[in-house]
Amino acid sequence: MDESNKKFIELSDFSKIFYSLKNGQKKVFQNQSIRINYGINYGLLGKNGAGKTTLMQLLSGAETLSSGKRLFNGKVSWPIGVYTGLDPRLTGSENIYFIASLLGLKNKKRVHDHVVEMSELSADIHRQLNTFSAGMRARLGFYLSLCVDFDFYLIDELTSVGDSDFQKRSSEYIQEVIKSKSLILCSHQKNKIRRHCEQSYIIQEGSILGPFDTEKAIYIYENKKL
Amino acid sequence: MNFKLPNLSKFAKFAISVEALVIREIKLADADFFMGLLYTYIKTFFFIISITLFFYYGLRGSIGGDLSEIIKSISIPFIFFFFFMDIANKSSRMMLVYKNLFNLPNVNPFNACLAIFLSNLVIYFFITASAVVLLNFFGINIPIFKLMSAATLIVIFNFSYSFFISFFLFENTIFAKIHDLLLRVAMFISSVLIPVEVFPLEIQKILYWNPLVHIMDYSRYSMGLGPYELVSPLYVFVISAFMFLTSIVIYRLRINI
Repeated sequence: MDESNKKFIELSDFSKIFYSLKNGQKKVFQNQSIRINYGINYGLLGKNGAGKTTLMQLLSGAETLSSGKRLFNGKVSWPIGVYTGLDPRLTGSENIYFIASLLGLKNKKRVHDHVVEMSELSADIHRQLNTFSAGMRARLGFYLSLCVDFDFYLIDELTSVGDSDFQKRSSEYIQEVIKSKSLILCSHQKNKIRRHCEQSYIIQEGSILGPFDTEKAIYIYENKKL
Repeated sequence: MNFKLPNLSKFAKFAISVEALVIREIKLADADFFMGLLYTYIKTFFFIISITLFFYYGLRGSIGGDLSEIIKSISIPFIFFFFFMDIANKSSRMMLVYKNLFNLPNVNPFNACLAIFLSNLVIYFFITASAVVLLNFFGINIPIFKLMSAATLIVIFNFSYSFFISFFLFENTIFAKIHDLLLRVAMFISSVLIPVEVFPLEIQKILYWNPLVHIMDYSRYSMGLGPYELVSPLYVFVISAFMFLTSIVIYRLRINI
């Protein structure tokens, strides 16, 4: 059996409950399962607040499960979003070096130069991140994460921000990078999911439905035929 | 271009993440203030000089001792207290400030807490070393090895407190504000500005429930001041061990919810 076929992420029979003194407990997922197989790109469809971002965090391991098991084999990226992972008090340049250090990448200078070149932020890269626009942050986070050799890339709404040029270029870059990888894409733009993902899950009222073929998933999601 | 991720052991991942977080913490020390890290350094000396001058000239006659004794009595306890304050402040908001960073690989509350502790340890090591060199330069002899035993006490206490307060307060902003307030009060009841020996014995016994009082007075004792008969380093060790074990239990409980 090919080694790459053994790569997967699986959350089995899991629950995620958030507790707060103010709002009590909030059950986001209860007794759900999801499996991401290597080599297939998956879309996540769901309304705002359905739990897509939480699911991304659970898949990446950034959030722990309240119950159930997270099994995985392969290198999983962090959930790449406009605000995730980057520190607003550091400069763009410092953020690149910081994340490259965290990942243990050897040639940090090359990583830095590559990200600056791809994101076209050379004029602003030494400014603090809190002075960046959402589009600039998106560009930085996107190219920084996709330049690292992960097996699974988790992208959370990132390609929906920024100008049309960035959206076009990011789509092309995704196509190029994920040729032999897996992408888990969460986006409200169904065309993006159609273009990049073969299969999709629908997240609704704490349930994860699927996987379906993307076209079928979009049809079910839009027509609420569940 | 794809940059290959190295195959690292669990320990190596832990070590590199702590190193990256420590560097980040040092870069961001007092980043909101003018001059940032330099401000952290200068503020400590500024306070020590101001308070020494106040005690020497402002309260001349009401407090005994010559200038070198006043400096000895104030400088090191003050640095130790600032060390504690900085760690306590950052740790109390750690879960909120780091929330975004917990998405990143190899970053979790445990190594974030350790990074806060280690970054402050590095900063305050240089501040303490500079103070000792300066004091020796001006002819005020500080017994280094005795001072190191007092420093060990504050390091152990701060280590435990950092974990305890991070996991105890978690993401609660109201408790964090109350904690801030208590820290300000602590400055006046922890033998930092006013040594507790000036109080009647009965009040001293109550104040000595606070482990910080033991640390501050032990640092004075290690520099050859006072008898400080009620000081007990063992008490600080026991409290520190209790806080650390409690924080591990809270961490295990909270991380699963």
